[in-house]
Amino acid sequence: MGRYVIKRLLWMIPVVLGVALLIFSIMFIVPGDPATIIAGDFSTEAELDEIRDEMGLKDPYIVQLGRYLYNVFIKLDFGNSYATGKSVTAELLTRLPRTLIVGFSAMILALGIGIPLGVIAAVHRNGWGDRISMIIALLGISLPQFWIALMMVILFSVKLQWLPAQGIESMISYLMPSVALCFGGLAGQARQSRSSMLEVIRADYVVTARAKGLTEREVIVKHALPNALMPIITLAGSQMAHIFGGAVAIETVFSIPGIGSYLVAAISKRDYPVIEGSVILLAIVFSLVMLLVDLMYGFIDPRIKAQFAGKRKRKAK
Amino acid sequence: MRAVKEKKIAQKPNYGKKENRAKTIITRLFNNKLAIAAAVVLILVILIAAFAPYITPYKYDAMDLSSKNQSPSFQHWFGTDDLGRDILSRIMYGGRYSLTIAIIAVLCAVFVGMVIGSVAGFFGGKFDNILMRILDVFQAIPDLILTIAISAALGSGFDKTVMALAISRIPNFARILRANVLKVRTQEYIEAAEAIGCSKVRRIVKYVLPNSWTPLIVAGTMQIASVILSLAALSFLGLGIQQPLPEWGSMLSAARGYIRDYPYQLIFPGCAIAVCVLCLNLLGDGLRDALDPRLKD
Amino acid sequence: MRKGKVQLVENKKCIEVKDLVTEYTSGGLIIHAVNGVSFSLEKGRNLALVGETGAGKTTIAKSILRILPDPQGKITNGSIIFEGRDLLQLPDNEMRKVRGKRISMVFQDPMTALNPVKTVGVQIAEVIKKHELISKKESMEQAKAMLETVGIPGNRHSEYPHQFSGGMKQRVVIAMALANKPDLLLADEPTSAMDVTIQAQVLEMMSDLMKTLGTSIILITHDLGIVAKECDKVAVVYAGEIVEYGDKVSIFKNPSHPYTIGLLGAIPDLYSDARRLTNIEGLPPDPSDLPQGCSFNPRCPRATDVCREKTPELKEVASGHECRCFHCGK
Repeated sequence: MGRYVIKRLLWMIPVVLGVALLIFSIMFIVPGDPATIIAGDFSTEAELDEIRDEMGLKDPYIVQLGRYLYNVFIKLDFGNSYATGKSVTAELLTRLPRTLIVGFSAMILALGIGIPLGVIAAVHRNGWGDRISMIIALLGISLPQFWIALMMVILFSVKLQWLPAQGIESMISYLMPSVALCFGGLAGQARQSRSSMLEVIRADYVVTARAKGLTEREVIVKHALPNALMPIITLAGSQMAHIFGGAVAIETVFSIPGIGSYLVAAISKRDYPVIEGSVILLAIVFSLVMLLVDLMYGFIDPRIKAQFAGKRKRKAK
Repeated sequence: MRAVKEKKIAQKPNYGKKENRAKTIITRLFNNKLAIAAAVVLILVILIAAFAPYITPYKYDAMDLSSKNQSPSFQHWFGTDDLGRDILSRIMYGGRYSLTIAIIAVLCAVFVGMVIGSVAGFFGGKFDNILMRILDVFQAIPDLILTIAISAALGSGFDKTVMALAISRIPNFARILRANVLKVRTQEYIEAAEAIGCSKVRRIVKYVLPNSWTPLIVAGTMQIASVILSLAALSFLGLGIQQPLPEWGSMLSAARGYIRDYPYQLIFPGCAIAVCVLCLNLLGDGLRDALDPRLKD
Repeated sequence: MRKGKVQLVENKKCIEVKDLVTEYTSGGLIIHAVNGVSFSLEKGRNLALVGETGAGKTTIAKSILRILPDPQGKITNGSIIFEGRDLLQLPDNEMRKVRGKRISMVFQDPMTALNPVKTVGVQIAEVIKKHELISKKESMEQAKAMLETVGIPGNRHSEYPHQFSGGMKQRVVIAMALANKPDLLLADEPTSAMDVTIQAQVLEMMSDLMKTLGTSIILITHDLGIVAKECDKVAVVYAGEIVEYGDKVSIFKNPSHPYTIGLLGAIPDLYSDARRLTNIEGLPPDPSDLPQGCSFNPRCPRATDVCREKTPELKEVASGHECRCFHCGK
């Protein structure tokens, strides 16, 4: 299993490098002069030129790219914000925990509620529980995440005054954002879990299990479920993308000072180092989450376990 | 207890004519009442959006500062916003942006994705490997964030938003196509075509692609729904389509400031988005069940 | 190990099926899979259910064990007497005690019959432990012994199904089915997915085990060669009905139903000169849309008006040999 983990970790490296390359290039080709952004509209041409020299903005693309990648991955320095001049890295590190709290809470809720919901719906197919949960799931994937958040604020903050609408004064402030964020992922996960489970329930080995005299419960729990978990976990990845992407809008709605709101604020100010740094960091977090998902999958699928477990066991004919 | 029917001749083998298959698919689809209802609502929405200039009670940018921030009433069914504009009219107009942008973006993404996916799947080897690594990089960034980054780079406005949304969806379609190509490519009728001297390109176009359209239709419908949501989020965050254009997401952004005093302004644009996306999802579900009923029973 | 209640009634019959009717519903259509099937089997003897794909043979087997897909499959009529009880009237928990212990089934496709995420040892031990009050360790020991019996080294019990070839997978399935020494084995085309040499091995192993354990077998197959070698009685199934039924020798020597004649005529003969194989015109009927009268009449060379209007009953044409045709044996 260790080999599998290492293999996956190593694979992450070129991907993250690629992301950095991609986002740097995207920001590079955008028209707009960083020097003007930094110095302000009323600087002289000479001042601007000095800034450009200082920042190496006149160097060719490859040199600038190389310099950026070196800074980010070797020196772990994302540069300084054009708007504030402060270190992007420091700000990102301060904001990271908040995004992680919201994101991971939403993720745990989505998987922890979504998967059992979908599985149970599949087992009691066409019962009223199934129908109701699938209707709710359909709504969950159809309503915009940030709109659900806004509606929750109206209900819980404005009308009922139970929860804070903004900021991160206490842990309670994280409650609504996490719940609002988990909705879409939970709904999607429930739907996918249901269809994976339905497919597995129809498999031959499930009929075999019944023919052995096992109770229906044993058949579902011991035979159907372990097999259904594999495609469910594989598909969980796309739901996680939904959640981490949505974190940006949710942070904006609830004014949570996380990476997402940092990114959004930087856009209107054309603060490229912040945009680049935020995207890269979010991509790293997301890749680690996907890695976790893959690892879970590796634990469950015995074919992978057997492959990496030992060379002693050979395929015999 | 047997079904009774007159049969004079032996059943002739039915070699599965093409028309029969299309007919069964359509019949199955029409049996799904929910999907048909969704399609009808969608057509209604499209018609409203298309004919908006002729049917809205007010013009979408008609400001009337004396009647700003009014709750829903008989004159303004959905109320007015902070510049006195009629919200109902703005919502009816708003459909134009959401729907056209989403459909165009998805069509572009499907086309480009199709080319990439079929080329990667068909030619395989190192070429396929490299293309897939590139797609991995794109997909390592969560959807919305990638769209935001590209959109930030390109700027706001109609065509640029379409491009940003299209680019973010290409990897998805490329993978679907590639998976299908891989599946079809190993089948014997492709080998047979090769054996009679069919060129690679011809094989792709004539045999592989026509058999790959089923997953694309379903995915395409679902992605239109997803793009509508992304567009709303983009506009909400300040990119995409901006005021005074009545795009639903930007309407929500503008209304956000009044969340305590005039919450109704937030409800209607959200419902509009929800209705479109819900119908598209129902339609997508129905199409999937009709095209591959094995998954249902 | 107790073998169950002592029977008071005449014990010669292992199982007796009477007027079994089974239907599937799919998308509003009713599929008449089994239309009034009756047969019986003596202890220690073998019955072959022969017929084309889709004739209803597998459904008969699944109906006996009551493992039809729920809610699509329903048994709507009939009785199945086994060990003095009607299986169709048993409550669920009693039926579960029968499955895997008194009656077992071997399925057609070994590739999908085994759970991919459990080791073969665990899967065999599971059926043992379910029906006996023994420890996990003890059931695993018995499972290993069972593997040896079917020709697989016992130390491979901790391997997963994907690590075995098709033929060996089927041996595992057979080990699972025979682990509790059942009275009756339902084997649904157990060797269809294999090539001929493996087929021969597996069949030989099965018949040896049967003789040792005294198990009866209902063998579902479309391969008449296997029927000739392994079975005592034959039931020919067409469109959910038994159209000919009787002793193997009698049926092979004097096939009476036109369908049986057609089937036998389609076998190439090593010993006579090359001649055209006869085949049966047309295709089997759609079970949701069966023909009026005798279900074979659209394809039958002997069909007359009465065949198109009325359904024939089983008639005895020789001792223990029945045929369902208005024109039997002509």
